Amino acid sequence: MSTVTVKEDQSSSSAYAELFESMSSYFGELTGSEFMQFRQRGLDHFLKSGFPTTRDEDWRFTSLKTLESIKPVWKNTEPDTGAVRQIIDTLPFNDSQFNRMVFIDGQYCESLSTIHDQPEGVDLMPVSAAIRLGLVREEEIGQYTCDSHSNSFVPLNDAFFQDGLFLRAAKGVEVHKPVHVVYLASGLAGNVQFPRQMILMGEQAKATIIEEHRHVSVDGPLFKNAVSEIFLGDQSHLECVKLQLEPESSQHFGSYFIQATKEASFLLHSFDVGAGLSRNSFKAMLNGQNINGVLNGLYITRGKQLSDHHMIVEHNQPSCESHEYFNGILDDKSKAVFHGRIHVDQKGQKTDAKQTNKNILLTDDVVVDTKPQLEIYADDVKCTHGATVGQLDDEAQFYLQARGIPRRQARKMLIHAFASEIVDRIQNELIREQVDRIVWDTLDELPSLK
Amino acid sequence: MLEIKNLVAGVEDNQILNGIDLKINPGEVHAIMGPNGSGKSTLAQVLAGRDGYEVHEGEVLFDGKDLLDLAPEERAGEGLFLAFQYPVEIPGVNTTYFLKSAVNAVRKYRGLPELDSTEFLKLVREKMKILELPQSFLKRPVNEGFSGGEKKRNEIFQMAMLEPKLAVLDETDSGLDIDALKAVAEGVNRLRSPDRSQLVITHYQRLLDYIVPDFVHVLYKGKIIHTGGKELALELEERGYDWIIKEHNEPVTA
Amino acid sequence: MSSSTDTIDKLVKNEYKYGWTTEIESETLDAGLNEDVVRFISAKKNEPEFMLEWRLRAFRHWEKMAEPKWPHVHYPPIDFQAISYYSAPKKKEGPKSLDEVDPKLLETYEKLGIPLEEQKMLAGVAVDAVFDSVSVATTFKETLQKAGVVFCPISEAVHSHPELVEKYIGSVVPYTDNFYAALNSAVFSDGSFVWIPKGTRCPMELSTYFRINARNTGQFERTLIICEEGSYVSYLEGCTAPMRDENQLHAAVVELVAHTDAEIKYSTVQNWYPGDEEGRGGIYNFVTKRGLCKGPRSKISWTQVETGSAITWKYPSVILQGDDSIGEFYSVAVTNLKQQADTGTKMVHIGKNTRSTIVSKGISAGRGQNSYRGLVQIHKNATNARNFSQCDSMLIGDQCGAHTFPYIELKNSSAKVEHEATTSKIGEDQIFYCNQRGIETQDAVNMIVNGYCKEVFQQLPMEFAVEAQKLLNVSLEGSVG
Repeated sequence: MSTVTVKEDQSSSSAYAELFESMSSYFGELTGSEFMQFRQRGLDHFLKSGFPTTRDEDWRFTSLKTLESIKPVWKNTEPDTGAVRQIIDTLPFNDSQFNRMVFIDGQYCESLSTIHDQPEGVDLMPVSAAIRLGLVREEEIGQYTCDSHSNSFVPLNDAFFQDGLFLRAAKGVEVHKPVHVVYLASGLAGNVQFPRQMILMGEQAKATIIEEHRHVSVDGPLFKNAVSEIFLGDQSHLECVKLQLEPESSQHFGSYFIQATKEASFLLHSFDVGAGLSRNSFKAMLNGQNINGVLNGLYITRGKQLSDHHMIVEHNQPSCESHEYFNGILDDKSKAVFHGRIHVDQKGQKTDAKQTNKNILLTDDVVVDTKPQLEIYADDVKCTHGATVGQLDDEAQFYLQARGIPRRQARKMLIHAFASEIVDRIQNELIREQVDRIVWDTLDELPSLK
Repeated sequence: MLEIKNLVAGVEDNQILNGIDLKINPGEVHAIMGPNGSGKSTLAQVLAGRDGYEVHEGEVLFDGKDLLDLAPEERAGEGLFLAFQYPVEIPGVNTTYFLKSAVNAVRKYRGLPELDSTEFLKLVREKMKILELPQSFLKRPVNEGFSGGEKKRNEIFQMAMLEPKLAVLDETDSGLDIDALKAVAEGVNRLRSPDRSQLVITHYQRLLDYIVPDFVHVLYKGKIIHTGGKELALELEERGYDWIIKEHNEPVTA
Repeated sequence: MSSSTDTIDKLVKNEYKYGWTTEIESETLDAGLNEDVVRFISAKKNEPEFMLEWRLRAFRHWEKMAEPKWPHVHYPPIDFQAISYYSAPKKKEGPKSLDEVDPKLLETYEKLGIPLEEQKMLAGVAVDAVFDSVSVATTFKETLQKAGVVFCPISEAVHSHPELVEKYIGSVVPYTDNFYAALNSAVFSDGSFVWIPKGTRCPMELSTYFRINARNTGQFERTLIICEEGSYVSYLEGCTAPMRDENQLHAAVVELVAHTDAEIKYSTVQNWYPGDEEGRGGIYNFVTKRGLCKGPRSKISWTQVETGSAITWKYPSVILQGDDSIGEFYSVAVTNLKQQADTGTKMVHIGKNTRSTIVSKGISAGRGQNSYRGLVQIHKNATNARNFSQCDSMLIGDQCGAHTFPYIELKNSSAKVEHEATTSKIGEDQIFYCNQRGIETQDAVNMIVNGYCKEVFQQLPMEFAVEAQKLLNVSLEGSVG
């Protein structure tokens, strides 16, 4: 095609070039010089491509104008652990039952974290520590984010990544107690954050993780761009719950990459209720036989929120099963975008894949754009997808009212039931209960249900 | 009519039938019983010519012809009928249309003139009476939305329509309540005649209360290990299979 | 396993039965496209000034456009300057009756199994046959005239009903709509024009058989159907094409306008040359079809059975503008050999209480790639809009692909949109079941596929349904084991 074209809007890209310079000494401290090349490559890629526009098919319904208007700022300040402590104490997941890792403004806060004794073969620590200990080398990072170039948020994270969960479980080991990872923004360290997670599960290893995104203060815009790389060895099992509870001033981007090998199983739950704009992308590559994967999500939006989910599941080997279930509840003038694609390779015979996206609209001013897609190159497969958009079932509502339940409560019951379809898929009982409570609280706050 | 000689067959590398010998003369009803996994259904599938089942040894003669050499539809044409254990649903294909195609395909194979719509419907009505099937049956797609009992009755109805020389009933009693079982058995019995034979594959003896066999064979690990008269079925019901298996495992000289 | 693959191969290697060329002297324009060519076409048809102006505007717009790249199809680039944009059979004088039609033409139709004479008597169908862009025979004019129905080539309507043509042409598919619509607007050769007066039920099914013939001639039909208040018409379109080595471009535009309480039923059976096993030759079928439900309670229904063409790119759509209007789309699309189809529909709900139904049945065999792409758009004011979509794909053999790309865009919460899709193959157990009852594999496949497509065939007029079923059987001959 044409040679290098000059981006029309250079302001946002060049702002990141400047930011990179200002952060380079911090990066040197954090991950050492050996990662500078990796970072530089990410930066170069991003500077070339910039943020996607609505002209890109994958971003047709999600405009990044507001994001581009944010001038990225980073300050290396000590977090106010006092204020954070208050938040931590109210967190739903008790640190006696969970491992807890707290990251404030992208930096690991050891004093607020609790890591229980782990069996041999489990490495549970921040990514920065894993790098310092030589557990991750430069060529190992970014291995699983392959083919991510359509999504310039990944190279941007490559350039700026700070810290995040590192979990490696050796063959046959089960991680002791679920790991609760909290990413907090204090509002003091500028307006950009780049968490990075690496989860590497050996053969038959098992783990449960909760990833929670919150703010201490709600002032000012924030751009959070997280990347997670997950490798699942043969017959390993991972359950992962993501809670995105950021304030409306935040713009949240999360990219998950999962590579699974034979007979692995995973459940990935996403509860997306915060942020003015959120984009959750998932790419699952099923590279072995008999893998069982579930992507399960709920989004609840209000105000002018936009919640965007984008996922690709690749069936590259025979006899895998994948299910994606995404339910949305939309209030006020909010908007939801769903893009799901099941890709079945010629080798993916006996694939059993199912995808559903259901949306309930609570007002006349919401917008839903949904694209559930199937791309299938093998003949012996069972693939279905379905999407529905509509209001609450009038008949059910009436039925409840006829049994004496007030209208408001009837509506809430039905909507809660709709949300429970997703919540109930969480296997870990402790987590399920807490998530259910968070969902109830969120529903309670919806203007249309008050 | 049917002669199975030293039949060794299986699926892929898994050998299931280990040398079956069986002879069925015209008019006879044979029952094959045996514990789960003994190869009963495999035998039915091999006889009908299902893809994926491989015959390693032996031969099967049907009226003197090499059955294993024929395509499934040719076997049907020759007069072999399999009443499936799990009849498949064929959405959108109306039962009448399906049956007419089948009947005429088989007639064509046998060198008989094809039936026109009037003749066909007359035949249908006649046979439906036997099985007490409702008219609505004919308009519905093949087996789609049928209950377990309806599917089995549909199998026997098709059998009546196709007038086979040898009918293989593969676990026709499974999933049937006693009334449905009686209706099905009655349908089968009406088709008994001196020149037709039946091979009844079943796990339980209760079907044989209604379809009374001339011979009962016990299949175990892909071999017929015992043969007796109809009273053998009752004995099996009472005593189970263990005693025969034990007898079979003991040396002959003992 | 292996035996089933063999049968699949056999089934797939089924040759196109309608391949030959009729030798008739054509008056063909040299390849290439520029303003002069547009002027030549317009002059040749003796068009009024407004048509020429409109064509030229379309041409100028087209020059600025690029070919669409988003469909899920692959083909070598088309050299639009290597195509000849005009070809017409030489006629001595316009034929007044069938007797005057070139006997070779009639023979061609007979080979296709559409004897005009017979059809005229038996089916009561008026046939406006397009042979390489120019209409050569129109029958049943009188009956239609009595009812006040106008059914004629659009080249004729430009003269006889210029006010209608000027008012409606490009009103549903403007030339700015897409690359091929712009091209068609600039160079369209001919097509059908239908106008049904107020309160009239068209006394017969209207039908046109298209046929592509002369070598290297892109064919650019333009069809315009207008139903005035309370009227009804059922229009059938069907086609086959002779075997060719070069790919032939076909970029038609069809516009439908339904006024208050009017109903248009548009049915298509498409069987153009699909190319050979290696994908050589075959028609590129890039079509823009769109209907406008302009008045309240109007209804437009598209039914298509697409078995031919190397590449199909086609989305018959309905704009539901009038309150309580209804849009329907029923489709069977078959890809065999190396055929590629990217087809579906758009249902644009603008008016209140508008309803739409989409039933799409894709069948992929051989090395065919079949994509459903559909958009359901509910606008802000489309209160109580309803859509139901059912997209099923069937795969026959392991070298083909089936893809589903639905888009739902919703801006009104009282709307209800449901989309379901399934992908399956013909079950070996289904075929075995039929075999066991004495039915041969090919017949079993036909039976199962026809059962699968039933919902769509039911929408077709009787004689068309039979033809469609046959066509489907022929296209899938040799495809399963």
